[in-house]
Amino acid sequence: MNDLQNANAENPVRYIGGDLIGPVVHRWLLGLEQYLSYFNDGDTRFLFCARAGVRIEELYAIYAKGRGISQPDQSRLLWVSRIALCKGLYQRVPEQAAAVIASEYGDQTIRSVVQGLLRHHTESLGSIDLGSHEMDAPAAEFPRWLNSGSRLALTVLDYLEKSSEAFDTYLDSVIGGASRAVLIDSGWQGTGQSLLSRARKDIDWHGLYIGRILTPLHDRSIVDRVIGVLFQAESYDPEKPETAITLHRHLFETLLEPNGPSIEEIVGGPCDTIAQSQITANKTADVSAEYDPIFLLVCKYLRENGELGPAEILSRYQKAIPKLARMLINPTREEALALFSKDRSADFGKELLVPILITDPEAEDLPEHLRSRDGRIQNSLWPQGQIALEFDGKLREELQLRVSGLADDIGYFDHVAQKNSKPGPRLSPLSEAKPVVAIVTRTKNRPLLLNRAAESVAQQTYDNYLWVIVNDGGEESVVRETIDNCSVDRRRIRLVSNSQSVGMEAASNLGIRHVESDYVLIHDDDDALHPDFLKETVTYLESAAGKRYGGAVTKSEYISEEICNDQVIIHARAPYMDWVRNIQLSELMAQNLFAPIAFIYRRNLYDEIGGYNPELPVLGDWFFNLEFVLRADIKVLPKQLAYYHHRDRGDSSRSGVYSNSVIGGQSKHEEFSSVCRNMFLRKYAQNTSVATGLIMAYFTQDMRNRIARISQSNTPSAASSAQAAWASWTESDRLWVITQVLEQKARRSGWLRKRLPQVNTESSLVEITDFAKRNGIRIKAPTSFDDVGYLAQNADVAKAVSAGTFASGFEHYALNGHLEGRGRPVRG
Amino acid sequence: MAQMAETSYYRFDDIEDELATAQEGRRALFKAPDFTDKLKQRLDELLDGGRVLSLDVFDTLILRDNSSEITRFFEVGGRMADVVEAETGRQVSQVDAFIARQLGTEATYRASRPIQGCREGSIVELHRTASQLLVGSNDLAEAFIAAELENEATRIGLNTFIVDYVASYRASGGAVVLVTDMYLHAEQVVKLLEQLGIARESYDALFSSADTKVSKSSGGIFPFVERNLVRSPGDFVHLGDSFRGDVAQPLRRGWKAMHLPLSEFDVRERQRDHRMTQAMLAKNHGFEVGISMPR
Repeated sequence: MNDLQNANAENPVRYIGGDLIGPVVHRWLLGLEQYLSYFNDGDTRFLFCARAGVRIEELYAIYAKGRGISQPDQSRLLWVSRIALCKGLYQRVPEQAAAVIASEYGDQTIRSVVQGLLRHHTESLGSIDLGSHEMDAPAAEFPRWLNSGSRLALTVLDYLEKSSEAFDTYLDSVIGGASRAVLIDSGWQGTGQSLLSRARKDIDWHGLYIGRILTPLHDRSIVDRVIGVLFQAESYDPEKPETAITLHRHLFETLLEPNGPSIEEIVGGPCDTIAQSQITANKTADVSAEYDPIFLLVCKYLRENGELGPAEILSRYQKAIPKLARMLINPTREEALALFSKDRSADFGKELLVPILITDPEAEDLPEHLRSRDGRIQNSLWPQGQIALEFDGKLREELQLRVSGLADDIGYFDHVAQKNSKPGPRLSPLSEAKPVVAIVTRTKNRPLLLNRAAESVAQQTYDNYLWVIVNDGGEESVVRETIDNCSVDRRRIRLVSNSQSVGMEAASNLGIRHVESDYVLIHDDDDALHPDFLKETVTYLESAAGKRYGGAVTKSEYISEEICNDQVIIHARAPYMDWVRNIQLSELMAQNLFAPIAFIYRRNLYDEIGGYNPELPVLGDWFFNLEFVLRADIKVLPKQLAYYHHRDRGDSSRSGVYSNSVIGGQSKHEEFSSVCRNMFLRKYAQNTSVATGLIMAYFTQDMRNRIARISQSNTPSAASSAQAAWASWTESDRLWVITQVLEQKARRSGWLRKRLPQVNTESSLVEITDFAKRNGIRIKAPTSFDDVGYLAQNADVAKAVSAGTFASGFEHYALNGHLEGRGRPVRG
Repeated sequence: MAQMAETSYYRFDDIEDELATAQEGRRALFKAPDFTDKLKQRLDELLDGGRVLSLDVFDTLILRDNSSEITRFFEVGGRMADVVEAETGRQVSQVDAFIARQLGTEATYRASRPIQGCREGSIVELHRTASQLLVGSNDLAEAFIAAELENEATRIGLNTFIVDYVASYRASGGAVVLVTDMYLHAEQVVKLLEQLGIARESYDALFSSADTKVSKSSGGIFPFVERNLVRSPGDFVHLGDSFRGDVAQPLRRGWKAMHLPLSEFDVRERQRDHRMTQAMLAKNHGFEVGISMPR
């Protein structure tokens, strides 16, 4: 039986509003008081941002009365919506304001933008020919179109400039000469704060929000002044129940939304009368028992509990928030309906209501895309709630967990991972008793590189390791000097020093056997790690899903460098063996598949194998890897966290103390690849399948080498410059589209993201553009592409865009135009 | 015939390991001649007769008892409640004063102006916020700070070995600076030290991250100290208990550094104390506070 059934089955709304959201809002208001107290220095204005600010101010007034405190004298209501801010700040920050406007109209045309901006300024709107072709350009082109000098654009500019002049006056009157302003709003990443911070640098802007949820497009320059009072998180973390609000932030948006219009016009601006009427409508808006029951219950809670002290407010909040979190993730049908009170109204000059939940799937006016269950869940602002209306029982709960990112359907097929995992706490967080990693570094008279390796170890964010340096016949004092000056905790350093070199593999064995550990990593003195390498790999291997693997490799980067006058000069970086997605024994038999620096493995497997083969002067790691995969699987983790350095340039590449075993010992590698194969075959010859696999692998690799040589000999020496330019633009456009696809994929919620097929970064321009189109991903033209110019040069394309066949001129160019030989207009 | 390779094994943490594994905590070890002789020898070598000795303050120059932060802050809450009653006649519970202090802490650490990307709390900002929350004005901030310092003084004692070493090093012409990552400003740390008998004249300078905002932990305070003393990185030897702030960062800057880690015994004692107070707060008042477990 859930909390709701326990508590108040007869009146779920009362329970939710009074017993759950009431205490949460109370805690948030205590947080507001906390920061108002902190900032209250007599030279600060506190601005409640309309529309949410209207209700926030009202709630705070009730709260303050209960606490026996007064609202700060310096608080004011700031009557602007985000679109009004864009209009009001256009003159000061035209590029940013226009970009925000354009992004709000993502899939639409400039026509929609103009209609939205000018909808109250009928005189200007009436003078514009909305049927004009230039109106067909995608909304993303709006910032550039504004500066195109066209008569239509000048009309819009005139309106924006007048709005900006009025806003300057209005803002100055609200700020009243204060040097600091604190915006108080519902959330979430300070878009308005960003505009104001850039436009009015004379004022120190801060923001107080219920929570801070940053998207990839947030303004980094203000992030330390964007304060989420209850939480700061981008997604739900089961250990922090308050972060469940990220799954349904609209709960608070609707709670705080007055039943009045958005303030789209500027006080004193071209539509002052409209602005005043919008303000009055919000000030006098009804609070309806039908649409605002939760808000009314919260007000009641605050009145009845106003005298609670900070400790009791905190205590009640901590009891309520896990229950609210559970309800946001796994609501029943009754709970979903009780939490849902009204749809959200759209901002930015749009006359529509955005559904939080679609409660009547049979409604005649329901658009086509909402007629299926899938469509309704995908388009709901609260998918967990919509699922509650569509499904029952365990299926409902399972689907809700999936859209909340707490389960996936892969788990169904993976009983090993499934066995230990359950929704709630994060999979295997690093605990107090963390496993020990032995990091073994073999070195010989290479202090420059050893110092770099020391820093690589010191920077690890996972700190339960032992760094074992094996000085293999080199000058010991050199190693001691590195130890003296490095920033690795001395308690974690061990030195194994050989009077003479014993060889790479024997040195590894000496180092590993010198310490007890749970994991082993061979960190050669010339390689390096990303600071999160150990944290990411150990966390994975300790997780339920990771238990099935004996080790893990991460993606790595090949770094081409040379040593010159005791300085490391890096020449190039490139992904190393980037095509490797998993480690199959048969493929590993053909060639080694990863760099030693990228591989961490369980110590018990090392013990079982008996160590590295000391008879091999090179390729011992490959031999060990083969023996390893005969016993256990290796997981390939997708993040690039290891750096495989090669001194393959200049004099240092061929000989001397700084050469690589791979580069300096090139001939040895060729010689010993056959020795290595033969040795492995002899050792495991009694296992027929392994032997057959190894022989087949040799022929596979030999065939690959032959094909590679033929391909190289057929490559034309040089393309014509025109072809080269065309190819260069095509490649640049291809990368642009891939970037857009990956970025938009990242911005989608967990559920929608998972539904997108895997993006193949090797796709051609046509393939990736088609992929985007089929999956509803809107591609903006690159800044170098003149979309308006392309439509002007190609009337047939303009017509097709107008008819909706293509979303933009660029989409046509990417799918067809570049192959048809149409010119690519470059923006000047 | 080739000679067989000989293999030798070394560690470099005799002093650090002895501190970390001290069975009865560090206090006893700092009084044990066998240990202090070794420590003195290492310090002499590092200072090489002329370098500036830079010292962490809390848990290095002065030693805390094994109370946890949460316990000490709850005690401060009690003293703050007494101040409110004495100054205004109003009754405020210890737990509400403690929460007001905690809200003040959060505010100063989250909202203060960053310098070079660093933020540090300030006891002044902290208690102004707490005073606003408890009595609606800044009026009691100074009294709250005094109450906190009084409480702090009951929980610390001198590290006599370090104090004596400092005196002897200065007597031989060496320079000594104190560098602390703390929400107490230099002025308040000086007062605390004076209460313990360390006069302002017994060291050359004191730097607190509450004033500089750049800290040992971020590494930004070390160039600040160099500029103030007009010395270069190679002229300093720093000592402290925090590996990151007192060892790794100064080493990266080119200072010499030595780690005097807390003992596992001390950490366990502090963790036990932390858990006890958290349990008391949960049982009596129904909440948990986001104060980190001692490490």
